[in-house]
Amino acid sequence: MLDSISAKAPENWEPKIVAFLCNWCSYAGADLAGTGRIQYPPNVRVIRVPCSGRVDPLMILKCLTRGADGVLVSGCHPGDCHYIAGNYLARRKFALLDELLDFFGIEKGRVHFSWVSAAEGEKFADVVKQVTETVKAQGKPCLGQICGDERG
Amino acid sequence: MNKMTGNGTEKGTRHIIEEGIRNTATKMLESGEVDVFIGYEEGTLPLRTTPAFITCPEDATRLVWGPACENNLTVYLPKFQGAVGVVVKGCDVRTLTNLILENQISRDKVKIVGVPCSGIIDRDRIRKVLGTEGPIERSMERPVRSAQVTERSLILEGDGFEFEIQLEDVLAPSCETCAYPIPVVYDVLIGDESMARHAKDSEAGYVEVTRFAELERDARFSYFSREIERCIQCYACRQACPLCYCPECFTDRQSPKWISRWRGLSDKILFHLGRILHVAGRCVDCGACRRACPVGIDLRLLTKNMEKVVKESFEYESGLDIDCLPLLAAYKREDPDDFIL
Repeated sequence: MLDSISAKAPENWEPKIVAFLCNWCSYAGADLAGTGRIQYPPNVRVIRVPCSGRVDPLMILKCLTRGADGVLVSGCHPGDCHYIAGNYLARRKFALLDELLDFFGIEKGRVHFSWVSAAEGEKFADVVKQVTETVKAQGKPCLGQICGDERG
Repeated sequence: MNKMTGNGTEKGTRHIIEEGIRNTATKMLESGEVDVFIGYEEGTLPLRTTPAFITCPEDATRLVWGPACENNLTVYLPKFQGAVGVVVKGCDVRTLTNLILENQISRDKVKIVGVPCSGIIDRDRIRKVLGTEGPIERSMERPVRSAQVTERSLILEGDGFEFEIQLEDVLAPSCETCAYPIPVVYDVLIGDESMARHAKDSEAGYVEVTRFAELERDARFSYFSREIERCIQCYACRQACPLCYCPECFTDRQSPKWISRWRGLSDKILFHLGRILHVAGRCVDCGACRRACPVGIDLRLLTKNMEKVVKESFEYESGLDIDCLPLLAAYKREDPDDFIL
């Protein structure tokens, strides 16, 4: 039984953050941040997805229960989706997930959503900075600790 | 047993509805309009009914109606190929609408026999009123042997005792604040609309959710983790839900394996959150999952909250409109996006 989602983090603790980036905008945005040599925290582990609409809320939850300290999902700005409406559909799912996690007692700052275009390398770096700081401030989630074993 | 007792010479509402269901079933089966008629028949235990699948007109006399008719019968519909007649309450018809919207059944294959609902009983509440432990018919100290249903009360009989409970005191929680006791869509309505329970404002159902949301975050998390820890992962909630019809549920998938049965709390939480997300914008609070849960987890708090969020964020109420798109298959440019960086 758990009484709180978060525990005090050990000193010098660096959170692990899973970032689902859409192939057409945010992934290219992250690439631009790299080629432009913009510095951002190395805490994100990027997973490339075809569209933010591909991201099933279960994937986000699974990350949290299997040891990720935070999750970032990033896609194209509204109206820019390569598949016309993938990000609009994703937005509804994420709105529900956001409210569900809050009601369940999981901090709002664990899971983040953002729109980053292929031209916004600077914005991508800012988003990652912001997300890392928020997750760090919240400490380590217990949800990941109780299932930290790797048996499959 | 549900013996229907009328008030003097005048027939009780429940009796009229029961007669109506039987007549409709006979008519539909005789005319060949439907191949099977799904309703309720007496169960083997007091205050239990069981789903009845009637195929011969003569068997229609087995059908009953009363406050123990709790099952949501629409759960069986996707399994039938032919034309089906089905008895639905105000909540059941909304899951039926969702099944039609999601192309699981076709509107012309189903004959909707609507019943103006006056609420169903919650056995857990009866147990609390009696002050016994375990199922009411199997409690050690005072097992209930039979029960009679009158217009406003239940009379429970056991060895050397008789106990009268007002129906209003043991209604299922979702019935107490029901906003749609009269089916929103039907082919035949049994009785008339005045026989249904008085519809409550849908805001009345959110009182509990709002109160819970005001608790500290840790208190909320701790409450849910205590509740969900009791889960034995039997997935009865999923089986009972008419809207959980996936041929392969995410819980049963081996690759990727979403949920393990041995990992404990974290995977139970994953299952419950996943389930809530899968019924988000579809759940109609019929209470089937809650009744099916063998360990009595408070499943309703999460679904009810989701219903409230959906209503507030997207002005959408599940199962009312037969010609719209499901919530998550549609979008609007002006949907809320204040949570996005």
